[in-house]
Amino acid sequence: MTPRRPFGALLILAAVILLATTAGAQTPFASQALGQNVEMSGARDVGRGGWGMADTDTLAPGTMNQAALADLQFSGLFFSGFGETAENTGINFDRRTYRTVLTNIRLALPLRRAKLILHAGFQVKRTMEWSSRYDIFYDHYGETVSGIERNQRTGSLYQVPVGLSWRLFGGLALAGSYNPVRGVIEEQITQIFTDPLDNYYLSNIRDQADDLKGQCYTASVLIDALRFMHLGASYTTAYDLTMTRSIALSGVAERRRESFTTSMPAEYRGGLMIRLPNHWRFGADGQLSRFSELTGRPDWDAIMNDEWTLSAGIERTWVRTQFGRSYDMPFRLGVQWRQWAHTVGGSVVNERTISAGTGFPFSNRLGMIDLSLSYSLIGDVEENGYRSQVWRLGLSLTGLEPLVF
Amino acid sequence: MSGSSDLGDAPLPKFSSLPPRLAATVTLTVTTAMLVVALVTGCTSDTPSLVGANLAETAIDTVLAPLTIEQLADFGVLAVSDPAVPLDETEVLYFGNSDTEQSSILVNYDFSSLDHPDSAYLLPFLTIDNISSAEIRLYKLTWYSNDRDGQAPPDGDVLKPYPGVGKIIDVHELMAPFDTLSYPGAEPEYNPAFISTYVEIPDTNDILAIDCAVAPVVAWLDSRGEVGVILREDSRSDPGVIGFASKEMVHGGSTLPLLNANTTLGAALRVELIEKPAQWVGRDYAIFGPAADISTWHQLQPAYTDPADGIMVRTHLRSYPMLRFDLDALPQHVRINRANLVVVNDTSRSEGHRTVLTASELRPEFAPPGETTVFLRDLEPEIYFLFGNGSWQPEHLTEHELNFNVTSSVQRFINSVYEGDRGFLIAAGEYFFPGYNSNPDPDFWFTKWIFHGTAAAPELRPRLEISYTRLDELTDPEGTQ
Repeated sequence: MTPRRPFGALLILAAVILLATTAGAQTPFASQALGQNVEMSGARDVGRGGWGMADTDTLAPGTMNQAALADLQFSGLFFSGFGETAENTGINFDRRTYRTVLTNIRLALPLRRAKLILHAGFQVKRTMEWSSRYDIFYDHYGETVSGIERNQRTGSLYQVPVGLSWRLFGGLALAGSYNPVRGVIEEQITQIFTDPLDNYYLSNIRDQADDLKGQCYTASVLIDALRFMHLGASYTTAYDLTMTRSIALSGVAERRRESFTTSMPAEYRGGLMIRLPNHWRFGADGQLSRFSELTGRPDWDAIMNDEWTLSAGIERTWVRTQFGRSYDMPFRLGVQWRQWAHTVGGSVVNERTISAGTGFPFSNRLGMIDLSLSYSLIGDVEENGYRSQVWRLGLSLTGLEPLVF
Repeated sequence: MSGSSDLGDAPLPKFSSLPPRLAATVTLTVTTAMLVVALVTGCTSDTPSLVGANLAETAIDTVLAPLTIEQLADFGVLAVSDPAVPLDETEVLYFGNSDTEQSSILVNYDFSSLDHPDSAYLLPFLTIDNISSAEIRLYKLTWYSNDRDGQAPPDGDVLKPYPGVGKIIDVHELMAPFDTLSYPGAEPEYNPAFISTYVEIPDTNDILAIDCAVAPVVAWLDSRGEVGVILREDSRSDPGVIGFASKEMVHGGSTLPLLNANTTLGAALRVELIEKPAQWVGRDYAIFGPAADISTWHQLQPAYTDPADGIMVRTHLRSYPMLRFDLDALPQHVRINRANLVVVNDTSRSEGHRTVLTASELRPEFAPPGETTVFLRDLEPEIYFLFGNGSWQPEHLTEHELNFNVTSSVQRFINSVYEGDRGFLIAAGEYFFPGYNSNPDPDFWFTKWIFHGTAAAPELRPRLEISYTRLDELTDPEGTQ
């Protein structure tokens, strides 16, 4: 008897866990500009360094290159997320943080099996979450007023891509999607203070919320005509991101509302995959967004920077065992180097990651779980004032139609 | 390559043939992985600290900016009376002269009850030969004794030294019984002949037994009618207004010395008989309680209607001031972190027992310039309570600055919540102030708070001390809604 039902239950359970979690503090570098790029197509990609633009898989394709979805034979549901812990070091203080994020949900429906696929989903692009707290003092009416100030930034930028993937002919797949972009950046300052007799003043809470709204388009191509090497690329158009801002101060009826438009840069992605002997593969990806050309936020002009990412890694794919009754688990290893979209402390922020991963099939390979474990170093204390060491456990779940229904 | 999988060219596997051990391993591994995720989910980050504090993109522009406002826009005084408790029904009789107040005690005795058949047995004994003494007894509130420890805070001598009283009380018969509706007012006409001149010996007793001439008392008894008496302060008496229990006193336990269960409160007339009726068992006196008693308050310091002179809050005969400050100097759309209405007590002019003081919002139209007489019941719907304090002492030696927290009111003003203006009414602990309904009611104690006026030195003036926070984004009219 196959263990089909337990795996199905696990899929649902894991999905519920991921959906039920809330994001928490991440890294102090995310407290500025558009925060941290957390885009993750799946733990399989992360485990091998982050490359996946040229990957193909008929059963559980990645979503990094939407053109890869064209090979899908069953309707599929994809979940990806991660939990991480970070040791964030300042010049004099440390802080450990934890959080979980569900970054990617995708539903793909074959309009024609392995030929034309309709897909839609939810993709978190960036998150910006951090909080800090410190003591404050004021000399007020001849007496010392003391208290604390807490700054809290939360928010995310996500898109809801809807598109088609088309296997034009053997060796070439194309995809296009329309991506409504939404998000919010909330910044809250809370000040609490007391007089020398510990009588509280009414506290201050400054709330600022930027509702983000835009839309862009992505075109993707996957060239897998050659057995030993695949190529993939995508282009996401530049777009205007409308920020509708609301500012409020506790106790004050007046609100300030304003709207401004930020020009978001185009994003270029490209990658290759090379088959190596003995079921090994090597891959590498690159990503570029010219955030230095971002306009519409004068307060960010001085810190915006081009964001680029280089990923490379190797993977040993599933291997049927000698006796043909089971399969050896995949093994993935990779590195990634990303330059953030904004500077901190006058210096660019570099995020360097090493990662490893593996995965398991569900019953009859009608679903998969991929795991990744990565370690990242973000920033430098001397250059940026802070450094974050991040351990991240990534988890992806893929359920295909026969498994779920 | 179209249609390929990670399994290479292998046909789609039949995982039904997956070895059970491997399936179990996979299941266990997956479960463990998810458990790790769950644990990570359950972990709690360290509390926020200085890490990243300098990276915050937003800030509050001005925090706890101080602003002191002294300019009064409106000032009025409310003389508040309570028809339910007219002066003759208050619990305390006030007596004595001070620099600013003078009050005598008027008492009406009604001897018509002696005509009642039930009193017939007594009449033969009420003769001048059988009456050994007659005295009017007054019960002094302990607050007016030399020992105020029970009333003062427990941390030592913080109140003004009590001057002590050596009262000399003159008793005269009124030309006619008094009318309770005439007071506060001038003393009524009285017979200059002394019924008594009683000299109190300080520090001896809180029960004053004022010996009276017997002959006039016998005449009162014989008249079977109503007789009025005035108790006046002799010119040789020590100054000061003190209080005695009236016939309406119901707060004797906390304000009076220990009393006999048979005590008749108010200015009772006690007649001692030599030969007593056979019906009296264990009884030595005939006691005639007052039919009416009242304080004359024939001199009463008027409330200041010009705030430059001072600001008075008075209980017993209620007088409550209303102050409205000119808030034009306060920026719009700011957060009021604290706003205190500050008044400075002038202990050289204030006197009396500890009282609850409250601050409430009031439309300035309700207390126009000058003094306005209102009923207490009409005040209730007009006020919006803000703050109360029941520990302040008008005679405190060191705590002179009283702060009424009116933060919420100033914030409402900033938010343009009201149509029209609102001032601050300083009042005692009336029944309609939640949590600050004083017991006894404010008509009990004669307490007079006098705060320094607007012409005093800056640190003594009434003022609003405001602490506010401002966001430039909100105070800038551009872009606001």
